[in-house]
Amino acid sequence: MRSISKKVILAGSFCVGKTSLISRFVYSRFPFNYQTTLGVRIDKKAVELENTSINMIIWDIGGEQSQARVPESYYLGSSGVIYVFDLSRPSSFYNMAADIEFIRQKLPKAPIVIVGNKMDLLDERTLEEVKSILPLEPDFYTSAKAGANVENVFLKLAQAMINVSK
Amino acid sequence: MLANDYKIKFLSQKAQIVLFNEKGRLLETCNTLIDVQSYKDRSLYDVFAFLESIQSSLIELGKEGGELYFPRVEVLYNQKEWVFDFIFKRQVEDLSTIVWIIQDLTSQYKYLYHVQKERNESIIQQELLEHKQKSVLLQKEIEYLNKFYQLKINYFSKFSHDIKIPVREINGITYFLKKHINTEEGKEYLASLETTTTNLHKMIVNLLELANLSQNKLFFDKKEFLLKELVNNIVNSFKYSTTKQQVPIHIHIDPDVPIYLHGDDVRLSQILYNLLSNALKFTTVGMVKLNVITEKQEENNWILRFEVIDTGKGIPKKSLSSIFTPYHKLNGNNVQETSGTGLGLTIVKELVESQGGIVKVSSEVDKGSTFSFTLPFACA
Repeated sequence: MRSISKKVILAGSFCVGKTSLISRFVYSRFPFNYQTTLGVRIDKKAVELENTSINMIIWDIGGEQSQARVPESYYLGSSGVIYVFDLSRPSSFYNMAADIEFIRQKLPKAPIVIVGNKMDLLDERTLEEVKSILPLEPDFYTSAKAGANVENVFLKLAQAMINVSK
Repeated sequence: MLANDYKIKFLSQKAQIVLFNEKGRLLETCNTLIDVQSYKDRSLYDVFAFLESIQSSLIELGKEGGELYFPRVEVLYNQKEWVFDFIFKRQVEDLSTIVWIIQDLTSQYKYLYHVQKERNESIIQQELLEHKQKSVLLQKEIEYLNKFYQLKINYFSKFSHDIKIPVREINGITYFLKKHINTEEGKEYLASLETTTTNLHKMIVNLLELANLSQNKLFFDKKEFLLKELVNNIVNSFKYSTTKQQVPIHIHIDPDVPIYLHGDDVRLSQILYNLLSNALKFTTVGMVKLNVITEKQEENNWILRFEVIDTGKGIPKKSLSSIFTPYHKLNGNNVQETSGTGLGLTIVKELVESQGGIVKVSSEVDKGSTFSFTLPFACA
């Protein structure tokens, strides 16, 4: 089995649940207290796909209202991006299209997985209404609290990064 | 001690310098903050995930000066949360050596952490307040519109009721006229008159239905019926209706769906008829499919999901959110596309939601649409 390492960044507005998604994926737990990420925290987890062990070095970047305010150096050498927004807070997805465009310019080859988090806070009808006003269709609707779809987000990105490196 | 000595002593406690080569092999460290010395026999890239993830950027680090700066790196080390600034640059005397400057700014950033947390929480509070203010305004607007809407519905209800009788009389006269008109031209005019009055009658029935729904005058029956028979009757009715059926309707009922259901069969027929009629209207090639699936079952209570899938022209994403509003019709050049009252889907939504169900629509232009709804039933 071959082994590769890839840097992954989690981007998006503040308080959308980036740290919680990582905590759920890496440590299988959900932090109930809100913790602001000041700059960046780094975690690591290996997943196995297609006879490849992929070490995901996950950069949890402090949320900013616009991606343009994130220090440039944080993007360096990133192979994949998870863009997270809060389904229950419209201000966290109003800038989504511009943010994604900004990231694509910085990292033209990196696959981007778009995630609508905090699904557990919405009932089915409200979720349908929110879906109809999203500027871009997300790849996954997740709940870091309930663990819904979290694993799939990282696996999809891992698969996309393997495809790029083929 | 001289001031300069104090300065050196103070700074030496707040910073660490690590020298390593491009392969990550440790050359020298003062070990002030992090114990790097222990890893002298290993590549630092294998030890520190942070370094591993920026390895390629470090190798590309300019040999003509320049540096990489990573502010506010949060690290859990020796069971304590640290916040470091990392700076990487080439050693001037030996360009193959990378200098890693670690600055401990934990106490400064600790203060910033609280400021940032309070700022984030205050922005969210502000957003919540704005939402509350908006929802109060919207509530007032809704109340006003509801009054206006009720007035309109009352008027339509009375008007539709009054007009229904003469329209029915025109229908009857048209029927008798058929026996007296023998010319081809006359028959054509009569056929047009018949179609027009039939559509007018449908429109009036729909308006009355909507008026009843808006005034909560509807009652839902609970009786036993055969689902398969109901579905077949509806599908067969299209063979004799004025809606020209150009594509086949395929029916699929999941084997686990009960044969007998307890519920309002008339309302279910009405919902399915409206959705299928709509699907047939917009589908000229392919097919229309009706699926009945069990969504949930608890003891004798079943929630069934009905899906009407077509391969028609589809609905643009921007129109999806308003498709269930009264009088909404898609713009199109085809005459068929603009016929109808524009109330069918509104009635469907009202009928489903009044019974505790949910209606959904998904669509892709030029590929087709799927309308689905859930309804609760009892089953003996």
